[in-house]
Amino acid sequence: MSDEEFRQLYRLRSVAVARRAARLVGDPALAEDLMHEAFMALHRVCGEGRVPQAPYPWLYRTVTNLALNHIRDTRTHAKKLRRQADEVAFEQAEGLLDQPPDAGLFFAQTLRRVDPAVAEVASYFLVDGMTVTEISELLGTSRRSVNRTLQKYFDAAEPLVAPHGQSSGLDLEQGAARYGE
Amino acid sequence: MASETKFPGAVPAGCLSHFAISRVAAEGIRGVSASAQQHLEACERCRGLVGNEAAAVRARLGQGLPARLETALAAGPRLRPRRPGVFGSWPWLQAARFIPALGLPVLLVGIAVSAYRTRLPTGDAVEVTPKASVEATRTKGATGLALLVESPEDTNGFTRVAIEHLGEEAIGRRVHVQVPAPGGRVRLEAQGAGSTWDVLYDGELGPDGVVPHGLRVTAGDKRAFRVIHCRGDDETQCSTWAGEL
Repeated sequence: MSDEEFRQLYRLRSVAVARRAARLVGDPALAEDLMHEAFMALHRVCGEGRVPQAPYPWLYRTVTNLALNHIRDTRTHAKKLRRQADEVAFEQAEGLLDQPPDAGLFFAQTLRRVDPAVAEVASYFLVDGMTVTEISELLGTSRRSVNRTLQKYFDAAEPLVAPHGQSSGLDLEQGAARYGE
Repeated sequence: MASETKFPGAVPAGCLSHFAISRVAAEGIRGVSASAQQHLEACERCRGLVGNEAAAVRARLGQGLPARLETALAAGPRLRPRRPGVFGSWPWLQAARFIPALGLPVLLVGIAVSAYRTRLPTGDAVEVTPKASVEATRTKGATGLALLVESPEDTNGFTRVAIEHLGEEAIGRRVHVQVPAPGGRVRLEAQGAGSTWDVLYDGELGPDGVVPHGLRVTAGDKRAFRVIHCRGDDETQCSTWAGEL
């Protein structure tokens, strides 16, 4: 990849890559840093002669993993998530919450319970709202493989659905049954 | 693409995923399926998201690369950022970097103190290389016998050592025997020519329990000795030790 191609890729895709990171970490400034890190990684692998066939999906996956690693490694982020989860549980108990809570928040709560590879696939499904077909195209794997990975995620996430004895508002059974359509 | 269902709570049912929206914003409507195109025409929410994303992409088209990426490009592929090592992966391991820096001075001080204590002329810390030819065996009595070894630097100073710790270093020095229970009478005998026993000392034992007569440790053949300590006239109150020097 030439320098000019790299610049053009940055101009066209940096917004989407940064927004992808922001949806996971919730901090635009941090998301910009992660986006830059992903582009630096792309520059590095290109320098090593391993140019990705599809640079944009490669960047999308790379920034996803960078963001998930950041969430796992940051203790303050975990505290913030716990606080938000407590608020959601309280609002549900008081009947104040008339809409389902954010799927991204639910995903972040379950992140520490699943393997990194499973978490990556689950993030595309829950946070990005991607279909199984889209995920399989992005990862270059079969739909069956994506389905299996999602099943693993739902098996691991089930105990966390209602940590306070209340319904999380997310119909996991329905979601798990529908993702395979 | 849009006909497949989404996870509830992720995006509204039927709407495009964020990935698809960013693709349309960057590549145009050609990059998505016919059903997604139909959905885009009908869904105001998705059209709005695509419009927002496209506007952000257009704004960035006029901008240059950030400084760190420009630097990376200018440096070329050979100059790559250093990969984080094993310490960089786990922040709690960062502290391990300082262990060598802190541990080395502590180790050096420990070695210096140990060397200094080994050279002390007196005291319990004197280390004597064990020697098999020097041994003493308690044959009767309740507690152990101790040897007081003359200090090499100070002939008036003696070091109390366990019998099994008396080594070759003691050759040429005087050794006093100390019995564990002071008082009473004591007799020190050493084996002479043949199987006779020469009485070296027979008399009262001082309150410190040290037999006044000293034995000189010699090189070569061992010389047997024995100590008989009696606290009363009755023989049952006597303890006997035998050993070799």
